[in-house]
Amino acid sequence: MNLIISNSSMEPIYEQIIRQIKSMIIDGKLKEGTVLPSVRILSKDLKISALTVKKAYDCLEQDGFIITVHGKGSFVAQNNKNLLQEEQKRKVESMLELAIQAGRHCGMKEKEIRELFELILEE
Amino acid sequence: MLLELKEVQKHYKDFSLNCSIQVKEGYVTGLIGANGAGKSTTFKAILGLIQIEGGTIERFGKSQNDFTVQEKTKIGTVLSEHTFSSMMTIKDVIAVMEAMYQKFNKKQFLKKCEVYHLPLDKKIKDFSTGMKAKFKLLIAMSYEAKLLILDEPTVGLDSVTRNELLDEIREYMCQEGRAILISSHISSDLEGLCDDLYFMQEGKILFYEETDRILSNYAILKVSEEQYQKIDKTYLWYQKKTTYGYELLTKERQYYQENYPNITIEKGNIDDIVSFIRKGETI
Amino acid sequence: MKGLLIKDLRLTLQNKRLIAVILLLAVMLTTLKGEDAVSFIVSFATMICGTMVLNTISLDEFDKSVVFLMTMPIERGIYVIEKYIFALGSGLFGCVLSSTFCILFVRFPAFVILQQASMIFLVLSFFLLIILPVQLKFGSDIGRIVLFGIVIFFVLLANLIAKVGEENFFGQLKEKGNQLFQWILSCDQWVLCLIALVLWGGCLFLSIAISKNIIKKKEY
Repeated sequence: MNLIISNSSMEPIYEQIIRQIKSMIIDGKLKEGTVLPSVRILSKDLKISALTVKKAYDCLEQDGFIITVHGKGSFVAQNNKNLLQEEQKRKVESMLELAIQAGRHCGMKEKEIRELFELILEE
Repeated sequence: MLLELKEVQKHYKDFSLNCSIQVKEGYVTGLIGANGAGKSTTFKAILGLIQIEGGTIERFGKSQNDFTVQEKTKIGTVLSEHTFSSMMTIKDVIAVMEAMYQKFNKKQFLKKCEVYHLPLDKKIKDFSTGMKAKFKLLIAMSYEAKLLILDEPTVGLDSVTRNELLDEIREYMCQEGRAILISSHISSDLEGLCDDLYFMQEGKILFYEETDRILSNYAILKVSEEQYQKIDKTYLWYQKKTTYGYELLTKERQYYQENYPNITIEKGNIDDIVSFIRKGETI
Repeated sequence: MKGLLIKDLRLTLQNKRLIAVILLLAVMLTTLKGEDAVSFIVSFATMICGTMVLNTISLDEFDKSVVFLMTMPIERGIYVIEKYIFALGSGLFGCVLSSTFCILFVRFPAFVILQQASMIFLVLSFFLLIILPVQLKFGSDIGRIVLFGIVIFFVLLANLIAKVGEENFFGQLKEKGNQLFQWILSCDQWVLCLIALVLWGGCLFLSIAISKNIIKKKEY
């Protein structure tokens, strides 16, 4: 499992881990049942605190992407189409948010943003 | 809980220690502070080198009266200055270790010495700083100690050697049931290793936080005088006056990121926090 | 304790001076003859070997390796006892080795050699019983001064007794001393030995207790 963490990014490290693992699962790079590295081993490889990894794993488990079996480790959960779709939708949502923020930041009014959106949708 | 210090006190002529620290199983806990802050005194108290004048120290859940020889075999120590007699060679040290520690793993220790090119027949006094540091750490990790007490294990080392030692420490923690208390004044070392941090100054613990929270939630806001007047100060912790305005330390980065997109926000790291606590004012 | 003994032994054997001393001994052997040879060789060997322990103590404190030692699984009391065992053990070793050598190679009655050797060992013990607590408490620098002081003290005392022996008070003391001396000579040899042994044991016990107390209270 190849994760790349940026220490200088404003995105919290645990979120970076979650994001990357989720997309690997969605893309099929991490198949169902694959064993994930243990918290300690991953924290050693990424050179970060074990608590950060644990936080990421806990979130992934809460969102249904992985399952942790006490004493055995963490595994990629069964492929749930709904979950994946939810995730894709969430991605789109955050991208749209970014676009709207960028628009506001450069001074565009709400009406202008909406017009631009419609324009792109029609293309 | 592998180690618990409750209001441990020790008084010297011009310095007093009064601190409470917890080291939980599976954690790497950092103790950060300037020279003279009290880190070494705390370690000496933990290791039984000095008598404390107040408070309690519990090691592996046992009271200080039960700090027997048996309990000592579960602790691995690196002191910043002292180690085996400088007239000894590694071969001499191995002979002593075999006699002192039942669980001393000679084979593995020798293998590690080979990996790090440590000479077996040279006297410790002829070791370079890097060799000494590696030697001390490898010794501490050679008998399956459950608790490692490391006082400035990377001081005076170049970054390559430092990273090698930090990797050894991470590797050591891969086994269950262990914990480490490590002190340093190089915060970048601690950021990539520790799970939680105690910040010490003048013998007292000024602040405690999980590393993850520091790296994800703490931030420094750089604001002008104008922005300073308008900003919501609810979640601001410390402030520093600068030539162009203020630098503000917050524990709630997301709040300010979302509500003040125009303000310059930077990730907070340990050095910054230390600097704020020492030179800034609380809000 | 085994670990401590191994450490002190290895450190001592490293000492190149030891080899030089042994060579010196060998040289001396060729020049001296008879009774002089025996007493000199045996006392020299015993004292040199018996005081090696002082070297280990000063090495421990020189680079403060004793601080690290105290974090290892040893009791402070055991640290003290190991020093005494090392001291008396190496002294005994030097004594026995040199006496054996003398018995074999010097033309002198074995029994007399052994008697002298025991006396010398007794002197060494007495010396160690005083110097060890002093060095453990005050360190080797002061220890050396005290060493010197003890030697001077006894030399002066002996002189004093010899000179003033004729005066009344000291004359009476000498009388009493003579009586005690006569009584001692009249006792059975084995009883004497036993008394000496008990006294020696008592002093050893006291010295160890004092040293243990010193080390137990020390802050590193």
